[in-house]
Amino acid sequence: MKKVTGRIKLQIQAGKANPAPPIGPALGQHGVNIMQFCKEYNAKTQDKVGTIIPVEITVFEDRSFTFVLKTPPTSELLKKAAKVEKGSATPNKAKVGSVSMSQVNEIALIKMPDLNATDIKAAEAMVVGTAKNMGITISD
Amino acid sequence: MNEQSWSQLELIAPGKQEDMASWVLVQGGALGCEVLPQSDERVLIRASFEKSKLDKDTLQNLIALLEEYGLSDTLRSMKVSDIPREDWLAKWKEGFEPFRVGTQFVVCPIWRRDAMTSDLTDGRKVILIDPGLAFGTGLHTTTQFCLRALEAYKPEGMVLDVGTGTGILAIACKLLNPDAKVIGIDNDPVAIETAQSCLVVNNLVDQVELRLGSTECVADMQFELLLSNLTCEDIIALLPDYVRLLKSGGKVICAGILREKLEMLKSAISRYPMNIERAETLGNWVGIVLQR
Repeated sequence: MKKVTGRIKLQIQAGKANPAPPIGPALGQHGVNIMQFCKEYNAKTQDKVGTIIPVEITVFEDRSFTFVLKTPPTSELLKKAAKVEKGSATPNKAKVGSVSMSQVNEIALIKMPDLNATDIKAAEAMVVGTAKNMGITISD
Repeated sequence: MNEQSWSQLELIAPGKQEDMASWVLVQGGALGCEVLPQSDERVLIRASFEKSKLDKDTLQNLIALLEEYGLSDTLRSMKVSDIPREDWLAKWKEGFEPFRVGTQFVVCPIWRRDAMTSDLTDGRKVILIDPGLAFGTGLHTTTQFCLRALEAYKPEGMVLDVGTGTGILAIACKLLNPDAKVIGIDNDPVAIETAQSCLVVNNLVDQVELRLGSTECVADMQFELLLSNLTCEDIIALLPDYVRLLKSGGKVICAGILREKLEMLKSAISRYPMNIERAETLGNWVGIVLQR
């Protein structure tokens, strides 16, 4: 088994990876073939352009790598569900949109693998908390 | 390396706020974030910006956003600095040695010309590459498929390399057939600059025409051969243009297609007057040759 020499986590735009920061410096220090990573990340995320798709990259001693795509940030999923361009600049005062509890459940299910939540109810509570922070209300 | 400069904004956030903090930073103009776990379940988030865009107003807007989104505590750790200009590819370059592709090519990084031996070349055509920050090192399976396909479908007449990157495929075309008229297009100015440098080192200046842009910059032309090493979604989006740009009987060498997306591509192709003449699976990737 190859020895792991680095783990890198990036929050980057789907389909838009290029060797500029943050990707270049983060991967370059481990000797990873940056362009190869960009090509593969873009191929896998091109159908999600406009969304942040976090990625965890594992680098091995021979400088080869593997990567795992993570789920988009909850805020991003809420933004799409509520059909709003962005969250409220003043979420405590101005509400920018709303989502239903079934949409909250859908987002919680998507996020479950990456959330530190023991069950779906806990995950839903996290989603509701994020919605509140963004100025998105829950409609039912 | 191009002349662009970058800055970074660092802050420390609780692990459970990593997603939100990164998202807010990207909403505020960051290109993306690197997330580094700390020893106490917190994370160091390093957001990158184009230096010219991280001005006082952007910074104030970011601070306001972080406060509004319940991340005020992260502001205490916030630091802004320039990202040192260095060659991020330097460490990777150390392991990039000349290698053979197909039956006719040797790809050699410019800094390893000293490693070229007659045993290695053995009558093959040598493509010198200085990839910089452009796609097309020759190391990727998809590029190697295109190079092998070019051996099988010798470039004749007019050839268009879509998304030329380093120009590696355009260079290969000229080496296989000096009479072919080859145009490389790319919508990334860095790629065009890199391709130009690669033409220089391969003594092919003025032999390949480079244009900045997508298919619109060759809209009035027709080609015998198109090279399309992009992504599946890009290829699908360009299919109508390819039909227009191809002469009857012309071919498209396509790569960059993930195996799981091949059916989607096949379905898209079925709507156009083209058929798949050859398909090759290479691990997770598929390369195909289309005929008009």
